[in-house]
Amino acid sequence: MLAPLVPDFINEQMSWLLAVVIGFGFGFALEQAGFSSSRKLAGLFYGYDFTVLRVFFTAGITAMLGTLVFAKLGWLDLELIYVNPAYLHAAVVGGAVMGLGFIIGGFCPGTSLVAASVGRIDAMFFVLGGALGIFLFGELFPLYSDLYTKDFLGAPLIGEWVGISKETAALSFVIIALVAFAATFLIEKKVNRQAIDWSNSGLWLYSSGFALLLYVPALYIVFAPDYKESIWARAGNLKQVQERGYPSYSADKLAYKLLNPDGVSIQLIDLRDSVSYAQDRIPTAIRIPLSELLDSRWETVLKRKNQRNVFYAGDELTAKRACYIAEQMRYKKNYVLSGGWDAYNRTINSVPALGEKPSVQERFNHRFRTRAKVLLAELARKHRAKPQAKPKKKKKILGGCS
Amino acid sequence: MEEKKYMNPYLAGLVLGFVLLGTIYITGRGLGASGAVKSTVMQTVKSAAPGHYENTAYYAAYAERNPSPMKTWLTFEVFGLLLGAMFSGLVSGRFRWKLEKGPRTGNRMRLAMAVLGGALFGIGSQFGRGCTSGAALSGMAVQSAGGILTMLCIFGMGYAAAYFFRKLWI
Repeated sequence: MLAPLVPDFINEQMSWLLAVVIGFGFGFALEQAGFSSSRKLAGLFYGYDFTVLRVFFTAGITAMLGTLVFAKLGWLDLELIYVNPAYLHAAVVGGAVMGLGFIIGGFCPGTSLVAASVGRIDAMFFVLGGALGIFLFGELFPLYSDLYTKDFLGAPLIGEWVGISKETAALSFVIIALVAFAATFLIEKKVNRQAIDWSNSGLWLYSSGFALLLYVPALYIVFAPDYKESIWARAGNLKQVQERGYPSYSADKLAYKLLNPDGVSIQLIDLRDSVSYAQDRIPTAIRIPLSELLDSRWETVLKRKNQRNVFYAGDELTAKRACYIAEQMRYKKNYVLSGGWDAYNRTINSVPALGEKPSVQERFNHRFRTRAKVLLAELARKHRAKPQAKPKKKKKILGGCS
Repeated sequence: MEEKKYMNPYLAGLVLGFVLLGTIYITGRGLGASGAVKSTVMQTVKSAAPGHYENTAYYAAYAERNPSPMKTWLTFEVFGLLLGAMFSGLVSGRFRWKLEKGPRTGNRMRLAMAVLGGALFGIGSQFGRGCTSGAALSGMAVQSAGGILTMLCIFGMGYAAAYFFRKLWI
């Protein structure tokens, strides 16, 4: 099951219910961290309390590392998740105005809501002010509508600006955070005129333990192969794929199953090149090149209930590789067509003439194949008239606060 | 009830980080706060002056994306946030009616500044397409360049202006 779970596995109403649960955790964490205190928040800017930096950086990096680890393991599709857009001018102006609001008001919107929930009167006024600000913004919008949308750059990642991969960026964030944690520890002690007990073994133990907690996943992200790449590499390992022994269909059995549907549907997948596919193919087959099987968009076609996926190519080995990839993509019931396209072509498409003294079995086969050829051609015509199975469209999640 | 100590900030950060990670895993989007305040403002304008709501560019654009302002993911999330924060405050003995301010600031001054600061955050979060939660924190989690730029500007401006507003806090 490839996340995000909304909208494919969880509907909108259910996601609202989850939103309340998630929000509960969000509010709980912020309050426990001390974010209901404006003086504590403002401490960040005067050096007497760096709690905000510690919580903020730790949370951001934990989520960043987790997201990338999930992606490496094939649990989360990064192409789908919401990435905040970059409107260059508005981002800078907005950030600066918010920074000013932070130092004057002593809160940000999230923390003000948290503080208001535990009875802080100044926070309630901040929330009111926030609503007022948004209202004013809406009323006066024509004055700065240009600035609002100027220099829209899409939704780039920070690594794309700097010229590094997202893995390297994650590792860099971890290093920056660890340095910042150490530096602010020293500054805070100095500002508050507290002595540091360097002989305290707990201090060393906890700080190095915490550093490893962030550093190890970051290294894993940098060095672990992408799950698609590793599936592809393993599918290329001949011995491994040969040994696995996938169930197979003979050409006759396949023809029989196609003509006599029995509750279990058959999805035929042609792995050959587009020219061969266009020339001739087994009726109802769709073409998916081997490398494209790794694309989760095919999930809607290959992961249906009561369905068997039958792969064929020019050779059996390619079909076995396809079975291996399909299995790794968690598609169930994958079959190989024995002998591949040639076997089917030889037995069904060009039924060999009967010999001098055919056995009962040979006669039976001949009769079946001759009939199957006609019926399959009919099936192919019908199938062409129906809409073709298509991979699902990837739709980015809409998120953000606007 | 005696007030409990705050959670260790790194531990609190880990908890918050896992909440955010869970959000991304389940919904594909991040956390937010200002978005729900915005929803409330939009709903208020819509109810108070429907014609104005439909004919004003900024509201109309919002209405197109969100047919009913209060039925958005963030309003439900912030409802949970209020409950979670209140629960945390109650179990830790921190729920108290209180006006918190710097040692040299009067009550009126503090409240006026809270409104002003809130208003600035409200305005800024519209430009920044999110606040400290939606743009900075969630943006950082997905390595969004726009979100990280906004984050740097928030904290950069905070430091740059801190000297001028020191009387409010220290």
